[in-house]
Amino acid sequence: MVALRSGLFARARRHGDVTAGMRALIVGSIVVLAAQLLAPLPGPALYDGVFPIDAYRWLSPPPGEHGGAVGTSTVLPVSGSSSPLITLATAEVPPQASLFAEPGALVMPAGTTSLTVSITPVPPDAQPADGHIAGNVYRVTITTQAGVPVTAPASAEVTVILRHPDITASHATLSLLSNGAWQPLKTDAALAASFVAIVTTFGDFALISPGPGPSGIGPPPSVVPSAPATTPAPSSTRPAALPPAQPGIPIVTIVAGAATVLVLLALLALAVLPRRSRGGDWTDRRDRRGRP
Amino acid sequence: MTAAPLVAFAASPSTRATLRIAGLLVALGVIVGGRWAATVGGVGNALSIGLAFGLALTALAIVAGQRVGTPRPEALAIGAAGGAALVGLAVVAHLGTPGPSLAPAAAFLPWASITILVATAEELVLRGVLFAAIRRHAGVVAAVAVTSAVFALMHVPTYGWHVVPLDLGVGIWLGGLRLLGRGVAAPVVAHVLADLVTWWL
Repeated sequence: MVALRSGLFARARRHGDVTAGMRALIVGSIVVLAAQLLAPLPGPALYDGVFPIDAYRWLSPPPGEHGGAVGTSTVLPVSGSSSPLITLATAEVPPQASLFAEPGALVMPAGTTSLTVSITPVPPDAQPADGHIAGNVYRVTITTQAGVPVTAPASAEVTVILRHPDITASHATLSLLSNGAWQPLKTDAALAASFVAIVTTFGDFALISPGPGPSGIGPPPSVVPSAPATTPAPSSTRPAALPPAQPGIPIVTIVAGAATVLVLLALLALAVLPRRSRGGDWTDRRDRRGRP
Repeated sequence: MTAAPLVAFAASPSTRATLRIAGLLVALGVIVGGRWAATVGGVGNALSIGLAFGLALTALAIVAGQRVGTPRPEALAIGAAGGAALVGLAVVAHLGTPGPSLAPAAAFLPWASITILVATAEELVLRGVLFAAIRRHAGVVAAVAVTSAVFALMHVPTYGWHVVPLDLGVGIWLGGLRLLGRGVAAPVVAHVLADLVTWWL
């Protein structure tokens, strides 16, 4: 009798789970689609926090921040009159600066046989009249084999993406240095404190955040060391893994610390909570119990 | 003045269930906060932090009583179908908005291993022990809602507020798979698939 009641209960519960599950899938689909339509994220949808993020690397690190900003470059062959696909990004995870252009997006002079694409962190040549530069200034160039710069029509949607040094930043304007002044570009927020803008010319790009910069962030141009940017990475459209650029707490220490916290929590849980209430499984227990 | 009422209060099933849920949320918050602090502080490299994050979540799930056995084939199939749907959405979204690949600058195998670890661990905690605890205490709707909200909020320190709507929807979707698959295996499979595919997008 008990087994029969248990089986009936499990069956009813299973039916309820299927109904609730289907409803959840429908609601989840609607929310996902609405999010993609109303607030699309540039690039692929990223569903969770698996994607690791490196600390921001400065060209001229403020006190307590990390140096080691790197550039990258590549040489792409051109066949015919159409420019190739360009996907170039600096080596941080995620990249601090990226450039993306669809095939045929660039306006090139006749006779172009190759394009040299580079992204290089450089000291700022000017400060913005309003706000402050957040992070590094990146010089993005695309030139032909003869050194002639190329351009892109707005309709080609060539995009530059820069990452903000503040991982929680949600507002910044991607700007292009033009005739000594920073010109704001239409900017959209992307993932991981990154910001994207469609560009038609190339040059020095930076993120401009409103207000004065945090104390100690970014020395004025006159005192910025004029050291050249880090040597660009070898030609590649997939940047190499970034080596650790600074000494840090060893990973063993992190794992040990996390383990210590968890052990303390475990002891607390075992002391306070009833054993019967613990659980969860690959398969729900009541369902297994209710099976014939 | 006696301690009897307090003891009775602490011993009541409702109180214990609430404490259990609160404890899980606090532990989850500590782990997420620790990851954020390690990232902002530049402690170790990104994959090492991801590894520590995944191990910590796995440990939390095990400590909280999550058991791992052989998943049922139908749950794996449901998870695969659910993951394929998420991938389809990602592909469509990627086609509609230009942007560079987000494929991480790392060797595939270490990245994939940590991706699988973290995705699995997140599901063991969220759709595993936390889902089960909330469901027993407050029902299935609350379980789906709370675990989805937590899923979205736990990514704010890493990706910002603008990913909350998307992650909330995906959290509800994974909660639906949890119910359809009658266990955590289905959302684990879907989550792992969706995350691994970002390598090629």
